[in-house]
Amino acid sequence: MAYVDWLLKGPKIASCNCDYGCPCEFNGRPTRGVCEGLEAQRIEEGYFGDLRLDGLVVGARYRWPGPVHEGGGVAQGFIDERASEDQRAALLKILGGQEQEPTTVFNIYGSTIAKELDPVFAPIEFACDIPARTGRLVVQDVMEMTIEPIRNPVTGLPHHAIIRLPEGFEFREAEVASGTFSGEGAELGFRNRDCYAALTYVAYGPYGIVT
Amino acid sequence: MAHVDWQIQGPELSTCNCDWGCPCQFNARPTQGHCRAAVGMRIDRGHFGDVQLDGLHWISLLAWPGAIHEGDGEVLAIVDERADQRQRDAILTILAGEETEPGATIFNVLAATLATVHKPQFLPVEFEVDLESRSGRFAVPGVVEARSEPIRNPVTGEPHYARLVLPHGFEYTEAEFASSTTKASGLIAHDWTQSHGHFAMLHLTPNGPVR
Repeated sequence: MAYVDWLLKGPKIASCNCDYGCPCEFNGRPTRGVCEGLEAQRIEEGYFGDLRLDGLVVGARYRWPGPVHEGGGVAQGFIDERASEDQRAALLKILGGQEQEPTTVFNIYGSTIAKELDPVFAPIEFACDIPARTGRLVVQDVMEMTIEPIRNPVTGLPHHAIIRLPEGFEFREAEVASGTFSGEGAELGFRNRDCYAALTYVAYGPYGIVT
Repeated sequence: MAHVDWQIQGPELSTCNCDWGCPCQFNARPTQGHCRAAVGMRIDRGHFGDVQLDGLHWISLLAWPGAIHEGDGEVLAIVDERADQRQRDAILTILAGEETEPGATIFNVLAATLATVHKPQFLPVEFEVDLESRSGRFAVPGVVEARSEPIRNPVTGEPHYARLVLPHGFEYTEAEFASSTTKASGLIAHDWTQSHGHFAMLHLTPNGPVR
């Protein structure tokens, strides 16, 4: 099938309430039964057809009552308020799984979502240093996340671990780190400390990860 | 400090009672609160001083009441009965973390966490691994059998390929993650199915892994 050509390319940071090394990356069950977290990508290079998306930040927060693949999730997208009406519409199409194969990250996660909250348009602060394993996200007045290296519990030294998923649909290689995040909201409010975080540089298009 | 010159090189299959993607690899706590493990290796190339170790196997059965770094663990080492006295002494010295820089090998790190070292046994070892397909097995008839196969995607049933890179790891630099089923009886009894496993090509020396 023919799709509008689009691209989202840039650094991505994510954190969830699982322990370091999130078992879901390996098809295990989430550490605490429930899965909740957030992710964001800064679009260093991006377009949807003729429309440029460069420089915008886009992301989502979510919660599932059990493992992701058992469904029943609640999700909410967030988009840089600097995005124009056209850019917002384009990004919501991509996040919504339109104009892409069913095997892309947005469609696979999308198929597990039972309820989608209205998207947030807000000023977004985004920082990601993959080699240093540090990151920061602030979606003004709604949520924030800080990422730093995992520490060895005995020596206190940073623990360097990289997950490689040669056939991954979300990333092919990610640096594993420690995330602390919190967010406001009746349905998707959360507060988690020192749990799983990942930093990656990734490009998505209509057919999945672009390598 | 000067140590006896030694190295062991060859495939390792490690299995434990954690979920797929063992959190300990990331400095998180074991899935079930305590760690039990069965590890085996074939030494394709190895020596300890002038003692050749090529073709010999070793197996370690391990258990801790909590996370490994909290200590109070026990170990039973089983060395290939084909090893002569000098080879047995050499392998047991390496497994005990001796003749090694502090912290340089997994054996040296684990030694500090072991309260009970059972009398080693010298028995026939069966060992076969295929790193490509993440399948393998080791056994000591009557004592332990550990099998490993690819992790399966819970929705599609397809094999899930996942690799972990630990650039400063004291066991491996890169390992293929898999699914293990292990049973052991006697001094250290094990019984788990569809738990964590990993394959790695070990290459250890007194100064740690060769990278």
